[in-house]
Amino acid sequence: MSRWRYFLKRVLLMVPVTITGMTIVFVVIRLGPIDPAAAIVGMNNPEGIARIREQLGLTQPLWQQYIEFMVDLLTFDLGQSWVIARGTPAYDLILIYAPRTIWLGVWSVLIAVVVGIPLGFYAGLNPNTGGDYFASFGGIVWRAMPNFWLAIILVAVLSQSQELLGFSWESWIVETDIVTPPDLAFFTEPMGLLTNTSAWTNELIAALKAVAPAALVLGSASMGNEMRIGRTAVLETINSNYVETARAKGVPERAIVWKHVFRNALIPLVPIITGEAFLLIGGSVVVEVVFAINGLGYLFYTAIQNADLPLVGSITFIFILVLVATNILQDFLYTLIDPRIGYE
Amino acid sequence: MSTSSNDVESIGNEIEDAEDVPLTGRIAARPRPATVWLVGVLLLVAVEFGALLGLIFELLLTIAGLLPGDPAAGLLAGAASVAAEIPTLLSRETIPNGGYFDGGAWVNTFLGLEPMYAWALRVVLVYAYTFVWLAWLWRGYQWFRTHYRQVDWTPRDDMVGRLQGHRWGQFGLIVVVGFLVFALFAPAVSPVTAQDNIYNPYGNQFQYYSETTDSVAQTSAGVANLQSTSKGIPGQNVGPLSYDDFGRFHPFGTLTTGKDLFTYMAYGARISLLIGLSTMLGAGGIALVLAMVTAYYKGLADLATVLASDSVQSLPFLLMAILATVIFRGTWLDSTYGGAPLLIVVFTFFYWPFLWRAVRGPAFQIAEQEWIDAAKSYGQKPSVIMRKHMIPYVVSYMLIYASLSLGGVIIAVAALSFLGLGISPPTPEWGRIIAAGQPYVASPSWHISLIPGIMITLVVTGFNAFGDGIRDAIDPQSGGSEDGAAAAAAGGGGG
Amino acid sequence: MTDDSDLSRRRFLQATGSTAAAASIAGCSGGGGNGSQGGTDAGGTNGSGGDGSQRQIEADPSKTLELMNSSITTFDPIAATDTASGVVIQQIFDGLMNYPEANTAVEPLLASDYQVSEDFTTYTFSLKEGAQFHNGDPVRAQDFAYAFERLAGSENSSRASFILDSLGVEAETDGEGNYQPGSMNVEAVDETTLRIQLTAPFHATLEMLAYTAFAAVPEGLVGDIQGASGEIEYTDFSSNNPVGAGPFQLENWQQGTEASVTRFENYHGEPASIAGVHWQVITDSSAIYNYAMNENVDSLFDPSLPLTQYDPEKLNVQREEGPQAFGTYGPVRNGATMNYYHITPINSYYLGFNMAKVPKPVRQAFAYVTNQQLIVDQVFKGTGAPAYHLTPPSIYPGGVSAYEQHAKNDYPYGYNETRIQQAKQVMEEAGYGPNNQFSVQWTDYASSDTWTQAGQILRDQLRQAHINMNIQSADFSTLLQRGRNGQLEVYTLGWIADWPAPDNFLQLLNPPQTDTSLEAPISYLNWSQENGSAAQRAIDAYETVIDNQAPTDQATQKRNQAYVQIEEANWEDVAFVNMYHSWERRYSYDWVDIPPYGAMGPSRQKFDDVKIAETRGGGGGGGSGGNSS
Repeated sequence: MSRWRYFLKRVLLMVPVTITGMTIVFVVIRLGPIDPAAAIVGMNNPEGIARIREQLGLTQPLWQQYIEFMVDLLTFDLGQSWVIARGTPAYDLILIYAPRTIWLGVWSVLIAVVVGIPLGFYAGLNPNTGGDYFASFGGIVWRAMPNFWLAIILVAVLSQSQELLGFSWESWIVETDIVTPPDLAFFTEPMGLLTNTSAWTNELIAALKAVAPAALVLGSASMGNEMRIGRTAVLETINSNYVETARAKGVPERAIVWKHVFRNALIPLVPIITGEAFLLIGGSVVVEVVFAINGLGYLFYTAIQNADLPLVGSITFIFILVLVATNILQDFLYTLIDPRIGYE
Repeated sequence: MSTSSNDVESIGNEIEDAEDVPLTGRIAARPRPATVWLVGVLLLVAVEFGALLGLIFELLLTIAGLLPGDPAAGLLAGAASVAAEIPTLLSRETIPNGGYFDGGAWVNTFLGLEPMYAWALRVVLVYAYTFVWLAWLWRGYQWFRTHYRQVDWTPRDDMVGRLQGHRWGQFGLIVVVGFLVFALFAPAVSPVTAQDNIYNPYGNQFQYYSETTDSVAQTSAGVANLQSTSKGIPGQNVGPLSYDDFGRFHPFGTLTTGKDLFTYMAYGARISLLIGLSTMLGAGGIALVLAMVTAYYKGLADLATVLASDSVQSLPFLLMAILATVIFRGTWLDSTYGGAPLLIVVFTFFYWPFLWRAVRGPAFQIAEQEWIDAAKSYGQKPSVIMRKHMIPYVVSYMLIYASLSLGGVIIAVAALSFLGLGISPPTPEWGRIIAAGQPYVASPSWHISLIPGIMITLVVTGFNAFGDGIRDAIDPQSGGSEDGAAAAAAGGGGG
Repeated sequence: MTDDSDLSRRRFLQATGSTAAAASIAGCSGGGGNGSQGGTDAGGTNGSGGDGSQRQIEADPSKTLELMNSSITTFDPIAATDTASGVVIQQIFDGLMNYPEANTAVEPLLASDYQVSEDFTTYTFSLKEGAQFHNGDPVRAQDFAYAFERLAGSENSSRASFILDSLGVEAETDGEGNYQPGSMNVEAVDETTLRIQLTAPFHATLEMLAYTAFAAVPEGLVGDIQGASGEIEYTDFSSNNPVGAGPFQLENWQQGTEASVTRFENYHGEPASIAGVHWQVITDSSAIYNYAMNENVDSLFDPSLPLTQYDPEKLNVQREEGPQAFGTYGPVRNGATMNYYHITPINSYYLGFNMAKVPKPVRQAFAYVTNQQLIVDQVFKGTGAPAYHLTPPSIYPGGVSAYEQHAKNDYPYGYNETRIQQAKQVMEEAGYGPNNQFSVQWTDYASSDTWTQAGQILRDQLRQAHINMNIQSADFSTLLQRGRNGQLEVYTLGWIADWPAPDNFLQLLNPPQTDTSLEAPISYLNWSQENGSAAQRAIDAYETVIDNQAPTDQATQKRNQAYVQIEEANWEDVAFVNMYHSWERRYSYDWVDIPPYGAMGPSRQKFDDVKIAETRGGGGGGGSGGNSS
């Protein structure tokens, strides 16, 4: 089977995968004991519950609700929030909350990549030295730390930064709060960069600083992974035949490292970097809750606590799409760059 | 992931001890080493027989508790209490640490030692006992090799050899064993029993030296707990390695409820372990069966499984776990053993695809081997072929991934409990105390959050290291399978 | 998460009750020397320094009040059921009646006067002249008729039952009991006269009308009922442009981040003394604490100061007046000592039993082991008053002292005592023992760690009484759902008044309304003669309440007697074990003076009479000032 046909097959497979995934979500949401009508009405006026149930369409037969659910989502009609922002389209809510999660996600990937990969390569190029052990062991422990724990410890340390670290994190560079949603308003006026440079960059730095601790936590698992894989990959390529050959031919060490070792070592890192999508989405709930980022994970958590089922369904749908897209991207990258992969 | 096929062959070539003379015959021919070893084992079991029985009954009780109707609960509970009567070497009865200070000396503690030292002695002995066991097992294996095995060399020797030189894996093994002992010997290593301190604190009276009246007084643990809380208020805090006002020693300090953190953690280790192992058994079982079926029949069976596993993997794991635990809260799955069955079901549902992915490749390779075709042509039944010729070569891969994923499960359970969704009280769970201690991280009561977090990190690192060790032992050229391992970790990460 | 608990608990609680509030019957002297009766100016606090701070503040009308809030959901007064939204809606919308500074005695607000017919079913309101909406339209009787029609008939209404069932305005229903649009008997006689026809007398009509759900909205503004033209889109109204006649108008709302309102200069009363109010939305308790400690807010309302950060030793109460207390709290982390104020508002938290599943000896054992004072001290760090009646002290017949007296002398299960022995005895007499334990399921609100803690204490103690309790949390909606289905056994809930009278609470203890086989039980007790000897007494007493609904002294007398009978019947049969009445606390920096709120709680207070000093900071902590927007 050719590589591209295989890729196409993978892409096609994603359609039933998405549908099955959403069906699982529907089953869990609608067959469970949660009642959004109760969440809306509260308990003072039980008479109101029947009214609300009628309004929400909960009295329809289940199969009809299922079909509506699937059709709505697949046509990107994400419905309205029932509880936490009654009547507001889910689409609007997601649009409000998503940028913060994306901002957080981008930085957590970047921090992980920028710190993890170089450290891994360094360890791989200097195997079995003190630096290697330090970096490797550090990476493994860093990866093993639960996000939620790391997050609360970090918050506690930064809150007391004056006493513990000798400088105040809050007033460092720009004034920000430790746990706060980043203010991304500056993105809406990119021209500010030119017209009002210093204020604009200040806002950029503040927004970055606001998510930096959260991004560090969220990226912790990936950072550890990237380091380990990077190290192994470098070690493997450095001992491979063609590097030996190049070395024998007298290619300078520096060129070997840059041209051969690093390029090849990047291949096994592809799934790790794309796999970060899973970590980010899973971790976003905990990290956003602890750091008060008010992003999609936080929205999901609030929605679920308040039985806002349409919102839960819509957010999950978005997450599934992101994950499926990431999988496709990963397959695409593999198809493109890695001749080694086998297709049975 | 790419798994090299050469190791599969090498294992495949391994000859199970030739059946010329059965093992019993060989032992009969030279009985001495086997007898000595067996006597040693009996001795080791005998000193802890009561604890062993107690553990078995408790396990049975837990299983019975999961079944609707609670069959034989009374009978088992009775048997457990009988088992508790059997004297054991490493118990609080033999080495008591709960005594009181009568103004001049410690009363009712082991040899009149301070409770701290009596407790420490018991913990040291428990671990010493475990390592004697490990050493004895190792000795048994060596004796088996020298005295009873007919071939001089098998590939397994190389694996053991590689493990012997694998410091990282050994570190993992030690941590894992330490964790297992912590969980299994929870009643012995805890300064107080969970029953007296966590589950039924008003059910027992104990004596203490009251400073205000300058005399020995009596109170219940429940009342004492409420006056030994750690809530971040300086002066009203019981930190690690300290005594409370009632002369009770707390190695890790107390919780916000005044209960003993060390005891809580030891029993909490049990539930983490139970969920972790049950999930791995469940998910591993499903993965193994599916791997066999897909590798043997291929085609549609494989496609259907790929679809199912991709669908499950396309769901954001932690979010779905949150969703499921919120929605099924209050059903019977959630009402036994603090909700552990619900978590096991949810995790099993989400973990089998990772394990199946991990063994699918090796299973396919095995299915291609000539001896499978040969077996088919002999007319052996598919189930027999799978059981006898395929499973043995896949199981070791399963072990690697199970070990690597176990850490992820432990973190996920803790994360859910941290959000208030996992294990419900009074069943001890680590994540829940991290949440309970969160507001006090930067206060005198820092120990509540910090210690469990460090323990989780250590245990997860241990399981990862152990998994690395086995992998390197089984397959020395396995660098490439790192990404698979990372994917497994990714499954549980995000907590 | 522990501590969001406090937040969510509050949020949910308000959802259970309603954001509404109360007016005093039993002489609850609402609060610190305000109450210029009859004045339409909802504020008139002339008390000395609201927070008990000694210094006089030179108010600077250009300042914006900085506060925190949890997530706001909507600004539509008929859709909102949560406190976070209610607080903002309270600033934007005005109704006919009002609780001045959240005190229980209602006063006319947009009404200038009213008459009640002899049979107490027809209310005729005269409207104040010259009042305006934020969009410049005059406030007319038609606007109220429109707003009430929306409340009853709009699909966006979450509170239709307030007007249809609680208040009982005459209206037609179709065969299925649904409201017939346009059939409401509320008539705009002319532009300034509004007539409301009830089906039967209701003693708390005026209090009910002070609920923001009954606030004026310009006629035809939103087209969600028949015949309304709909000048703006519904979502525009509910999230961007809520047009009311209140002292502030909405300036900006970023969902989940912040909201702000600014002074409405053409307000029908005196314009607000501050430029506006800004709420930062923060839900994580540590985040809240840090935000406050950086002096980013002027005042912290309960439960913003997380209970875990609260140190009872730092509280110094200097003055107590009835349910109110004034004093200082500090030094807090930033070194400042804040002005402290709390009131025991009209709320009640209790353990409820599904009596069909939990036999009487078990319920009595719960009552015996429960030491309300211990729970309040251990779990809630003393931030409340132990409860022995479901009716809160300030509306208890005869007032706070009658409440105390009755509890101290007559509470059968030990006043502030843990009676494990009696619990054991009552269980053993009923045939329970070590080998015959009773298993019971406790369910509390999911995110409230506090109730789980209370449950843990009781569970530990009940072990001695051969009761095996399993603790579980459920989120609020699940809890209610399971309650309605009769699946709960022991549960914790709270109640905040819709109207400030005991019957609003005691309806929960009216046995016929607690039958979970009904479609709409109000509490989940299944209280009947089979499981309680006092059920009939409670039924009879509640009938007396129903039969004497008129707002006259004589009827009040009869109701009061019946109330006490219901409380005693509850003691006898233990349907509820009352736990505590929670304080509403407030911590303010020195530079701000907010009038003390009354028993309706801070969410019912309008901030138009707040004073903020020209310079912030310097209140003891040397922080940077708040960032006034």
